[in-house]
Amino acid sequence: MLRQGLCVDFIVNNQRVTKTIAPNTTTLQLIREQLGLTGSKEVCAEGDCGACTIALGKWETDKFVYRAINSCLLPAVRLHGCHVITVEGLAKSRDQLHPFQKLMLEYHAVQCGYCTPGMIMSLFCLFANNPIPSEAEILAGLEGNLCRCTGYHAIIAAAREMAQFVSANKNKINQLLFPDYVLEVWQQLKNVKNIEFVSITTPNPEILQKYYLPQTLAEMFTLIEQHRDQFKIINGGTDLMVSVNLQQIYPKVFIDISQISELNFIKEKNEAVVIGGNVTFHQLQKAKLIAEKIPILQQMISRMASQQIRNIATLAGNIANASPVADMACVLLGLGAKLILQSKESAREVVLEEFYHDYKVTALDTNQEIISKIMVPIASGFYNFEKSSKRGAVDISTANSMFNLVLDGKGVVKYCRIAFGGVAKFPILAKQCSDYLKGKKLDADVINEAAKIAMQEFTPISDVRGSHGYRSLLIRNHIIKHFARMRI
Amino acid sequence: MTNVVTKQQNPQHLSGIPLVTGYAEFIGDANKPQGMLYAKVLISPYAHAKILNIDVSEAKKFSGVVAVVTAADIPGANQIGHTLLDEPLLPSTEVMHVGQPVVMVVASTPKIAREVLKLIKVEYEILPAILTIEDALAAKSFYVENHYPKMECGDIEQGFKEAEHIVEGEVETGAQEHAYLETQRCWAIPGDDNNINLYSATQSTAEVQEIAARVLGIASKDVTVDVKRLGGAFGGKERTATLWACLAALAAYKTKKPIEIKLDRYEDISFTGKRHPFKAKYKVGFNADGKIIAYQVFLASNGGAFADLSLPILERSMFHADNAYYLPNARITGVACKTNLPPNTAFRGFGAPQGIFTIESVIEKISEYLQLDSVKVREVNLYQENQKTPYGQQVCDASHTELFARLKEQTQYEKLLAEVTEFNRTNTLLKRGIGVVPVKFGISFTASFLNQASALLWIYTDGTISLSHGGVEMGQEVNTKVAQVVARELGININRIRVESSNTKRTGNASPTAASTGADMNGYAALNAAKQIKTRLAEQAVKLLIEKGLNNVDVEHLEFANDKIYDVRNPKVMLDFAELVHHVYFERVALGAHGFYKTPGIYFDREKGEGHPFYYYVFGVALAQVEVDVLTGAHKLLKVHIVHENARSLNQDIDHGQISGAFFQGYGYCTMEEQKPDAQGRYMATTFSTYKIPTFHQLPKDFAIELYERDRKCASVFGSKAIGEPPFIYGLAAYFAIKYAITTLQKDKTKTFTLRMPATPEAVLLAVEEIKKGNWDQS
Repeated sequence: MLRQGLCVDFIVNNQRVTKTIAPNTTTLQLIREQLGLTGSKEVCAEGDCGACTIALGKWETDKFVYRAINSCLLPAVRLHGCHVITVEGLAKSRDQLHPFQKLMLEYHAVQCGYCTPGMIMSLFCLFANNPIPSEAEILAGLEGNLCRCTGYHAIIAAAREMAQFVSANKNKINQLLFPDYVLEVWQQLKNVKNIEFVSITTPNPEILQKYYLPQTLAEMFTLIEQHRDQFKIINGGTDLMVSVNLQQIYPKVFIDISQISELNFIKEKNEAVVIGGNVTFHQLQKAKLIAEKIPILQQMISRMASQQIRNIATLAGNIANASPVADMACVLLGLGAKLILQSKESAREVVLEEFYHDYKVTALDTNQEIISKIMVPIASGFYNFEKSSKRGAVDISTANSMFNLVLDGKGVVKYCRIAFGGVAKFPILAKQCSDYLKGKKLDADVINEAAKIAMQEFTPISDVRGSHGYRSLLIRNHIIKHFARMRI
Repeated sequence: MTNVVTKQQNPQHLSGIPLVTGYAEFIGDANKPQGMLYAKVLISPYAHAKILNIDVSEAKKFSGVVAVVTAADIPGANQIGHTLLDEPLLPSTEVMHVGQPVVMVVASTPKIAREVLKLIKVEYEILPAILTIEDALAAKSFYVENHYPKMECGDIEQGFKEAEHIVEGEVETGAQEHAYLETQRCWAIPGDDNNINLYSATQSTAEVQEIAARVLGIASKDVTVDVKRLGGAFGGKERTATLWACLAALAAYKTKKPIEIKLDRYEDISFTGKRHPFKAKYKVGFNADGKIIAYQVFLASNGGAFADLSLPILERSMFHADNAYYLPNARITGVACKTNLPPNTAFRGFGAPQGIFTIESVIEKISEYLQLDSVKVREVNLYQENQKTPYGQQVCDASHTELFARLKEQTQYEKLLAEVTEFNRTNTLLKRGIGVVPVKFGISFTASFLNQASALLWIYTDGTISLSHGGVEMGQEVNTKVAQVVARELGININRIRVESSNTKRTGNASPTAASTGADMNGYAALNAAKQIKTRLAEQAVKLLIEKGLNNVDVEHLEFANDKIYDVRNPKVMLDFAELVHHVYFERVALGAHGFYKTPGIYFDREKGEGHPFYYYVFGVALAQVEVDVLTGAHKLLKVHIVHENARSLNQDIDHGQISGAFFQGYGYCTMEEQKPDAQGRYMATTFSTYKIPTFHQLPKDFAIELYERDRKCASVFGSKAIGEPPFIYGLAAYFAIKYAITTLQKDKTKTFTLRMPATPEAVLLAVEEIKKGNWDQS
């Protein structure tokens, strides 16, 4: 089952590509440097600007779905069996532009044009999934794309007209949105088999390396055993590929777990929602079960990263990456989530507060374990998440906090759990603050005292996102804010 | 007027189709020439150090390395300075800032070039570094000794004596990253006759040509610089591009191979200069109605390691120290400080935002002091027609009084103010504020000799046109506007015109595309060329029309319109433009013309600090409304209304887009874009995940831009005005709106607090704490 040097087989626009691809090649490098499609741009190489956005299409059960992806963060070997639409693939000819391209020009929404290809591909994916988006949905679809010239005003106006235009032509949405070659592409890709293992060694042994795409947990554990001390698990890859691009850190072996179907589930079990190890944020955002049982997760995901990142980044990856300011880690800690850490031989349960040990150090034995499941208890009482960051949107938190409080019938605090991010080396519970609150009847003095206790509980650092003093104030004020929201 | 973006009838982006289809070529997008090599630089890790030894022996041995280049390899002068000759291409003895290139590696792939940098050993002796304006002032660390520019009017001492109140203070502004999406880059292709072609991401083809020739020890004729388009520039590719172009040129010269040099984002942010941070000290005397009697200000800028454009930038900050306000008695002085940071450089506004932010802060101070609405204080001080600026230029077409009236009418200002007051009375955790900032922006390079431009126009025998001019297309659509000018003059459809890349062969000695002058000057130069050809065409047209049987035809009555030429007295008999051109060619009449333009009537005497440096002024005013969360310091932009006086716009869509984009850059500058060095002189926010520019989310629900179009005495080509820089100032309204919002928390109005600029959530929260402490101390 383990074959070496396999070709990757996919379609770019209307061109079938069968190629041996080096594992350290990103999709952006492939399409620009090897396929000569230079419309997609590299601007930040870390998923913050959207200039490299492409539409990545594949069969999802019985529907062919396109998602906006930052091509700079997607290892090109993952394109197997997929359809990539780049900006070059939309217009039939110079005289027959895609309607979105036409509207961008009519609204003068193009200035220097460097962001334009990515912007158009984000718009395409937005409308392909949701032909008549609301104002908020347009914003969510475009928030991952930066423009330094236009001030966005004309782009939004063009997008609004696109929505009107599509809604006025409901009977021919597909003809309007999709290039005419897609039907044939979809047919062709029905027959592409899942990729077997891809394993390619680059010419320069100094820069590695092998890339594996196991389809089952069993295959994955075999690979883990074979490559002990050398492998790195890649899931969404939105953090790992940033370190590849920016710090030139090349793991010797990538084991990509994104295609293991055993890890892709969201289900309810014992008063908890259980989420599989390669479930993406986008899946969580769309899952009915989450909407019913833990709606805060969805509210929070919409404030996290961008559509391109949410489409591919995973919950387990966000936890394992162990950033002290990871929004999701903070939310889950506040909700009392547990993890299943699975190795070939066994599985163990770890509560999230015992998962984080130090800065970027966790209980996960990265030499043999993965996070296979995340169990999130169905919360009761009042809960609220607060996030403070420089830009307020599509930004990494300076500090964040999750608050869960249950009052008894007399208004006395029965249960209280508060988690903070960005105030210590890892996401952490404000234990002294919650201990203080338990059994108290709430009034202004109690709230202020609780805020003070929380502030004294931590000694946050100063860094580029904020000073010690500012973070300390945020701790205090987040507590006050949670209570203020509770009253509303 | 909540959403005024509409589909207009203005010509679209001249390169629109290639841009939206992805086929537009930026530098690095074209097919790579055979044998291309890649250059990467090893930079100084220290802000200031002596170079003791450079050992490249290991690097040279690495497979794939073609050359390792140091100062010793430079065949010509190791000097890339422009206004002052103070900047080496590669230092040999001393590094002056973190990020200064010291060694260049040329290799077969970018990855190898990067890897090999690790094998180069440079020994340094660390020297003391100056990073701040304070330290530079104390050490008298300046670019030119005893150079203290000054602009003065009235009698400042007498003014302070007459004024009813006097306030003194300090104002600081921060650095700003250009954040053009396309990073610095250049392709250098060696020619076959000791010559070289540079495809450089530059706003200044002539400068790159001149300095690359200097560095290589060859002549300007041997260097060709070509720029098709830039992926944003904003001033960041005016001087900064020269270094990277010269390095690529040097590598190509040495290896005889095509070279690509391209910075990664973190390299670009870490190595290159920013908008200058400023520190201003002021003293202002004013009367009870808020009228300024005397204003004295000292503006000090942090210029970084080399002079770059710091001196003209300082000067422009001084030229705009008055902004929109008449100062009967003023003394404006300043100094550019030499520090050990990457050389700070041009950035949209070119010093004006810092000078303007200072006086706007002063106006706010006066309003606080007198407990007056700051809009009223602004209004009593606005320039009136023909009043003189501190540097002696009369203000022509002074429009602010009518623009303020228009803005107040459009925003229902009094009602808005009442609503905000009511909101703040009933909310404790959220506070709202309004900020109003006008702009008066002087158009022309303040170095008067730069105010010249050329254009080259060819009409081919099929009636289509090749147009070259000195402007560089970087998203401001200078090409669209210049083509519009030619199309209008010749009465033809714009689709007949192709605007060529900016190339030193077709347009020599081009001034940088900067100072908002691109469309004005190149438009006029192209107009001049079009007029020359039109005169020749007209003579022939008269003959042809006579041949067609008309007997009453003359040049004076000839009309060029809709691709036709006819005598207005007999419009039914007409010539087709292409038909005429075809005919004219066979008559052996020149169908090419070189147009030239120099801006008339401008001069400035630096000794006296007096003159008429600007051809005209652009005027406008903006209002911003925000809502501040006093628990987190975060804010939301609720409303932006802009009234922009534009004379007669060449293209409303382009101008609208420039205003909207400039507003957002200005807004980012004063609310979220923070770039500070650490104690070692290294910039801290070197990626887009740490350096934040505005996104779609910051776009307010209510965002209205009105182009206030009027015929003006003082304007440029076809009665239009420049657009690029002035609207940047509008963004500052957001800062003052935030300040307004948190001022409402203050119980004792005589106390003061500091709101740092940019007003990040951190800055706001710290200010709120300061206010609360003051309130608490008092109660």
